[in-house]
This record gives sequence, structure tokens and C-alpha cells, in this order.
Amino acid sequence: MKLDKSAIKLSDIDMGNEFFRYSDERYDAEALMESISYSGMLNPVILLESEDGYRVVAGFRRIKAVVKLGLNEVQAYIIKNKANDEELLKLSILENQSTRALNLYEKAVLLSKLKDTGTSQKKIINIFMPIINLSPSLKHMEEIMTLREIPAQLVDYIISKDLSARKFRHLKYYSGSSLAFLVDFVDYLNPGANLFVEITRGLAEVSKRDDKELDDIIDSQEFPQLIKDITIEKGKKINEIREKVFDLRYPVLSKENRKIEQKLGIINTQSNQDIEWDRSLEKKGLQVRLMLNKQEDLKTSMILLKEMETNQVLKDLFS
Amino acid sequence: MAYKIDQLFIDNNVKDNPMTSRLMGYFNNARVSFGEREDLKEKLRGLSLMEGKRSIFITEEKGKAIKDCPGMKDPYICCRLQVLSPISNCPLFCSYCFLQFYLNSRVTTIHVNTDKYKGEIIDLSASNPKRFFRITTGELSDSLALDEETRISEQFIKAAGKCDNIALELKTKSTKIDHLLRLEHNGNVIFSWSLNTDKIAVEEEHLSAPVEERILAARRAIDAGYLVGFHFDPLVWYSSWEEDYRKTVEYLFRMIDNKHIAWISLGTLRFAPGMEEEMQRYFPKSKLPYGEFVKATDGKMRYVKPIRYELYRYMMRWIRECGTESVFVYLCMERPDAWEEVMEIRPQSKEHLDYLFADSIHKRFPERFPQMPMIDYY
Repeated sequence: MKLDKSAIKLSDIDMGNEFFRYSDERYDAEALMESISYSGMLNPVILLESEDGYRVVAGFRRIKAVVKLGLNEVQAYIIKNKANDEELLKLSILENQSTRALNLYEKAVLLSKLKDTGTSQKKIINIFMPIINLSPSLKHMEEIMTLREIPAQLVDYIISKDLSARKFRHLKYYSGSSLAFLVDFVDYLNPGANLFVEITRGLAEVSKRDDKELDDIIDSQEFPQLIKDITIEKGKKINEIREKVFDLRYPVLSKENRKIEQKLGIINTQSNQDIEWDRSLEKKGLQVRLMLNKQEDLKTSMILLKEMETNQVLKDLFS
Repeated sequence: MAYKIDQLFIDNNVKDNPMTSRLMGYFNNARVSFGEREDLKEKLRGLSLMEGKRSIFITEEKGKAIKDCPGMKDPYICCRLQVLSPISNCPLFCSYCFLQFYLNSRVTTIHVNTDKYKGEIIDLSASNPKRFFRITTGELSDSLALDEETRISEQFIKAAGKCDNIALELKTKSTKIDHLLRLEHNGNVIFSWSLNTDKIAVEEEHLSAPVEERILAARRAIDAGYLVGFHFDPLVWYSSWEEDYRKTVEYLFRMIDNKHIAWISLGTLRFAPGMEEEMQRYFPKSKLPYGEFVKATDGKMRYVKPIRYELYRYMMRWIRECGTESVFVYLCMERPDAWEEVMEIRPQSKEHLDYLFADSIHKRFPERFPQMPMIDYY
């Protein structure tokens, strides 16, 4: 495809036609403006010549930045010959790839656009996904497309935490008020990525297992009220939600661990003593940690071990 | 049940093999592609799960035909079953089956050079005449699902018949055994069925025979002079599991006289991490991925111990309540502490478990397995 480079007036560009757009201006917009302001536009945009002027093929964010900076024209490569939408999207992708990596949401939008151009699923998977550094599979494509079905706040959260598609694929099971709950969840509590995945996946799995609506499960646990409760500290709220979801998802394991906690609760441990066990219950045994800072700690440690030896309740634990 | 096969991929090296011709005759509506083995393998890698289920790759076994069961790393106790895989992958469609997700190819592959397998059965027997070997064709496939078409088992039954220290186990969820019932055999063949509750069979074991029919097929096998075995594997934990498994156990022993049962195994649902995602994808109605699993020390996802132990404990109790004191019951792929908790026997190692099998089958069926096992040979 032959491209001619020239300066084009902004007024000649049809900014309303966003067919080739998949970039999200919210990401890195300020950095881009700063760069153009400092050194000018280093990478010309790509425009398609049409009867009424020019359509943008690549460079929406750059043009927006130029507009915001109050400039009148942009450097552009001009496509004069006819090309189909699929070819133009491919050109746009390659051009974008040379300047920055697309985030997952932008990739999801791009995959949708490719579908809209009538590009076959096989071609999208085998040709386009590798170009944008996605492993070529239908499963992966479906996972990424989940981003197209969830609110922008959740997309922002996912992008900011750099979650992989595997970690948010279960969000496809959320809809309506359960999605609204998730928006509040990240908005009010901004949980860490692992906690977010554990809680949202746990809830989705309980819903699938019990054939219950996610909304009903979330309401029955009073999570929406809990996250907005200003009397409870943020970390405590997250822990409470996490524990409740764990209890729902792993009722037998929770119950067994609670029994062990109760049995161990009767043992008087000092601040320098700690009794732990494998909470998955796969490995047998208790782990006793004794921090010995002074001579006296030896004595209290022996008392603890003696108590553990003679206590009937603990004996039951080993049987 | 006839399986719908759309495509046959045939390795040029075996295009003149009689079994190849027979399979082409059976699946005469399927498209046929001939090619070099490696080229075809490459082509098959691109097939989806569904395409794979409807395709058969006919080729030859190049490597060793009999292998040790992939078994388990310590501390899990493997039973040291010997695995013969003339067929790998399976036309059945059980949601929990690892074969369809983890073998290199999603296509059912039939190795038609069966002389190699027969030779290795004889060689294995001769390699240690004092040891009793159990061999199965049911590890990487269902032993009998395609047997009417391939007639492979018939050849192996004859080969095993020449070896006093071999028991050939044909593991299946099908009922397609009638072609084997009139065969002459020397009594050392065990037809075994994977059993489950009706609910699990219907909802998860697609294209398999109903449980009741499997048990009725076992009766036909017994009438033909074969021993039988049963594998309650995978045991699945769900709300009505107690009632449902008890029903299956009681029905089994109403229909089958336990003096013909060589062994029974128990194993709970387990799978490689990540397989739950495949199950969710291909079997969206299945509840199995949502059990209480933990990553066990062998890296597999297993039910938490309280669930595993309860399933084993109840199953053992119900099986024994049916007057089966002498029937050998074992755990498949479990830890020594699980054996200690729920079983009557406590193998110290996989070699010891192997010996216990031999000891049991010799004591219970001396006319079929006359050689008294000695632990030193295990």
C-alpha cells in the first residue's frame, strides 16, 4: 500500500467517523499531549482520502491531543488508493504497534471491529490475534471480549491492576445489579487484584453450583450495605466479604477449619507463640512456632507443649 | 451405540493393514485422508474438541507398547497396573475425562499394529514369571467402546491366555461385549465397569451406557466365564450423593454375585489444575468444576480430605454391608493416610499394593491364578 506524507488541516478531517478507532483516549492522554507539545508529532497519523476530506485510520489519540493543544494541522500519511476495511484495520494495528502496546480493552474493541468488518473468526484468531500479542484461540478471544460487556469503571479497574483475561473471564456471569455491586466494590474498597479475583470468582462459582442468581447471593449476604457502611474500616470490610464468600464456596473446609480453631482456642498461647496448620487440610499436623527472646520464653514454651500433650481435646485432633 | 465419525485420517504406513480396511468399511460415510504420519499429526493438532471426537487417526505404535501406569509421585500409592494403549483418546464424552483435554491430540488414535502389543504381553509375562501382572487397555481410552469395530480385545485375550501370570483387564463404560462372549479364554480376563450414580452417568458421562445396563452387561460377562471388576471412580460429592451411591451399590450386589468380582476400586473426582475451565467451557451445565477442591501435593485438584474420606468411608461400609468381605477393594491414586483412615488394608508401597492384588486374586481364584505370589518378586 503506497502512502504519501503531507500536512493536513484539522478542519479537513472527519473526526466523527470512528470506525477504525479502538484506542481509548483515557489512557496515557496527558503523556501524549506533553510529548507532542515538547517535540512535535514524531509519528504521523494515517488518513484515508475520501470525497469529503479525510477519514482517520490510525492516530485518533494524537489528533485529539493536537486539537487540545490548539494546533491547526497534523503530519499524516495519506492513503489514496482503495482498500477494504479489514486491510485498513490491519494497517492501523501495525502502525499503532510500532508506537505503543495496546491495552486489553483496546484489543477487545479491535476484535469487535474486526468482527464488524465481516472478517472471519478463523482469520481474526489466526492472523490478527498474534499481531496484537494475543495467543490465538477462540477461548482467549471470548475471555477478552468479556471487557466489552462490563461497565467502564470495572474495565478501568482491570486495566489498572493489569489483570490477565483468565482472571476476569468469570465476570461474564455478572449482570444487572450484581455488576452494579462490583462497580461499588472497586469504587469504595479498591481491593487488591488477588482479592478481587478470589471474591468475584468465588461468588460466580457459588451461583453456578447452586443455580442461584448472583444478585440474590450478594443481597442475602448484605454485601451492598456492608461496602457502604462508613462505621467499618475498609480492610475489615474486604476481609469480611472474603470470609463470607469463602464460607459459601467451601462450606465443608470452612466448617472443619472452624472446628480446629475452636479446639485450639482452648490453648493459652502467649504473644511469642503461634499454632498453625495447613488450612487446605491436605497436609497433616500442626505447626507450632515459638519465638525465644529470653530465658523465660523457654519455660513458657515448655508449658505450652505440655498443655498440648495432655489436653484431651487436642488429642482428638490427632486421632 | 454407534459413534458418528466424520473423518478418518490414515497413516500411509498402515493403509494396507486389515484393520484399516475394516475400519474404513465400518465408517464408510467418513471422509478419508491418507498421509505421512507426521504430516497428519500436525494437521490433527488444529482440530477442535468436537472435530476430534468425530475423527479417527489410524496409525501404528512406534514406541514401547506396554508402559507402567503414569501413576503418581510419592506419597500417593499407585497400583502398578501395566498400560497397553492400542487406542488413545476416546469416543465417549465424559465431562471430567482428562484425555480429551490433555493428550497431544484430541483425535481418537487407533494403532493397528497389534502384533507388537501381543508380543509385548508375552515378553512381559516371561520377564518375571514369578510376578503376577495386571494389564489394561483402559487407561488412555475406553477398552471396549470401539472394540466391535477394531476387534482388538479378542487378540489380546488370546495372547493373555498363553500367560499364567497375566490378568488382562478391559475397563469400559460401554455394554458392547457380546462379540467377546463366545471366545475361548483361560479365565484370566477381567471385564470391568466404571460405575457411578444414575445422575452422574446421565449428566456427565455422555454417550456412555446407563449404569443399570453396565451392570447387566457384567452379568453376561460372568455367564461367559469371565471375572468382573468395578470402579467407583470418580466418586462425586453432591447433595444427594449418599442416597444415590448407596442405591448403585445395592443394585450392583443384587444383580452380581460377588464371588465373580476380582476387585473394586474407589477414587474421588480429581483433575489437573485448569481443567475446570475446559469443563466449564465444553460442559456449561456441569456442576463438577464447582466442588470443594484443593491443590493436593501431587499438583492435582482433589476434594478436600473430609469430603474424600467421607465418600470412601460410606462406600466401603455399603460395599461390605452387601456381604463382600473377601472382595479386594482398593483406593485409586491416594495417599497412605487415606488408606489408614478408611481402608482395611494398608499397603506400605506401590510394590506392596501390587503384591496384595496378586495375593487376593490367587487366594480367591486359585483355579484361574494358581501361582502363589511371593513378595520378593514385587
